[in-house]
Amino acid sequence: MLQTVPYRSFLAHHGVTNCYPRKTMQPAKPPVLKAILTDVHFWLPFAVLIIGIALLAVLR
Amino acid sequence: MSTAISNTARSRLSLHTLGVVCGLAAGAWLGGAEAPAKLVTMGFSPFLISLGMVAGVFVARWTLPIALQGTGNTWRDLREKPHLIVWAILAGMLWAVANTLTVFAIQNVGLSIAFPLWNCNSLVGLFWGWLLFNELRGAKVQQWGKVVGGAIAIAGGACLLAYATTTQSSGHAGSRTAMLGVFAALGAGLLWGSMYIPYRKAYISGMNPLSFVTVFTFGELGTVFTLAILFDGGSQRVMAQLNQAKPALFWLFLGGFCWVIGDLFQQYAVKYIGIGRGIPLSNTNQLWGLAWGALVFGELAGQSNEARILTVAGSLIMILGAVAVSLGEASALEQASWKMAMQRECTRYGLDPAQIEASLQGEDTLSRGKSSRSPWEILVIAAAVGLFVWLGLLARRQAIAMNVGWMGLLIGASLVLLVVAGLLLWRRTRFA
Repeated sequence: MLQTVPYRSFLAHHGVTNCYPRKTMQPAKPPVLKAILTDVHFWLPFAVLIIGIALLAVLR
Repeated sequence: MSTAISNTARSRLSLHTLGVVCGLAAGAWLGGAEAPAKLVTMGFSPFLISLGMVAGVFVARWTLPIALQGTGNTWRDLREKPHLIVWAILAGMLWAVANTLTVFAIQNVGLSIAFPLWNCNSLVGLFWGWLLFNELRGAKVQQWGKVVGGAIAIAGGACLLAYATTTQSSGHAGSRTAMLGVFAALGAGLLWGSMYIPYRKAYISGMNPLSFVTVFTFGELGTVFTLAILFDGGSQRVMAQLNQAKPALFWLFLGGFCWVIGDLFQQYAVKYIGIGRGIPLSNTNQLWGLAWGALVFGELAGQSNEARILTVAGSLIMILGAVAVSLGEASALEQASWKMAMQRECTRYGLDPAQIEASLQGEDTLSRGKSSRSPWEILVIAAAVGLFVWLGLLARRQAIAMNVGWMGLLIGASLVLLVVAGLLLWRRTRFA
């Protein structure tokens, strides 16, 4: 009797574990805006920019 | 497979050496960018001069860089890393605000005081590189000495040069005005130093410098234009001034063209050797600015012996600093720390670590064997070049005495650096 083996299991059996046969199975990217806004690296230069604009307003 | 084959044909030059050459080439071209601006005689507002130059930068982006890498790669790069569009615009805005602050700083306290203050940008960048991107983490004391000592020497040498080459004093300004000028200069240093956060962020995410510069110029032009409108009497006045300045615009555009080349080399330096090493090297632009001023425009004529000694001493200190930074190659331990910063970006923004790693090793992960140019790209190049030619035809020779022999020599030296650094980049990374 023939036994069917799921495609991913077959690949895993042969050592292929990082294969995504369909694009829809790839891990989703995190939402861009959320990733930026929760990145402390973004707020540092942004705060510096605000300081610079405030300085310009005073100098004007 | 095609990537593997093309990689075998590439040079095995170390990325550190490549980054150092790019940093030095950046210094030459960023310094040379000051020369055409010098040709613009007085009478135009500082905002207008800044706007003209940034407009030149914007147009120049669509000449040589687009010829090096087609827009197809740029769009692909931006689609894969859309978060970096925000970062590149932020970097452009930081540059524009910092540049405007320097105008006020020079007005209030003079160049000799303002320049050393904003030249602290390399030390600010060094700090951000250490804090946020693991630069110098795991480095031995010797490396620390070479990089930090070299950066301090370059900043110190620049201070000496600024002091020796300017005769302006802060005596003309009131105490409040002088204090505001000092704050403006310090603010410019802080902004320019922090601008390297987006730069480094882009490159540990595997972005191509040509893609980053494209978006950067939009942020830069938009902000400078807005600032000119806000501070220079509204849009109608700015447009009228631009129209009036047409005979001088070519020189500003030429300055912008040189600046784009310098900035591209600076970006490659940041990509391959980091902020801490790349920025002090590109800050040697002060040496080139001095060479243009002193040798071509005769700015140091009639200087006292004391000033001449200070000028030579400042130049030597800067050169020694650049040599020290050049010798401070990152150790394997430090490079492992860089990789951790890269991994963090991959996790946060959903990037492929293998692809980013390849990009940081100078592999071209974008072209995928495609290098054709679409007809509309050729049209864009023709339009940008045409604008330069049109402004060139309108340009009037400015009444400034120049030493043509020295000018030829400096242009020749800058072109040699352009060709050498460009060839090394092409052979090692295919401009990746």
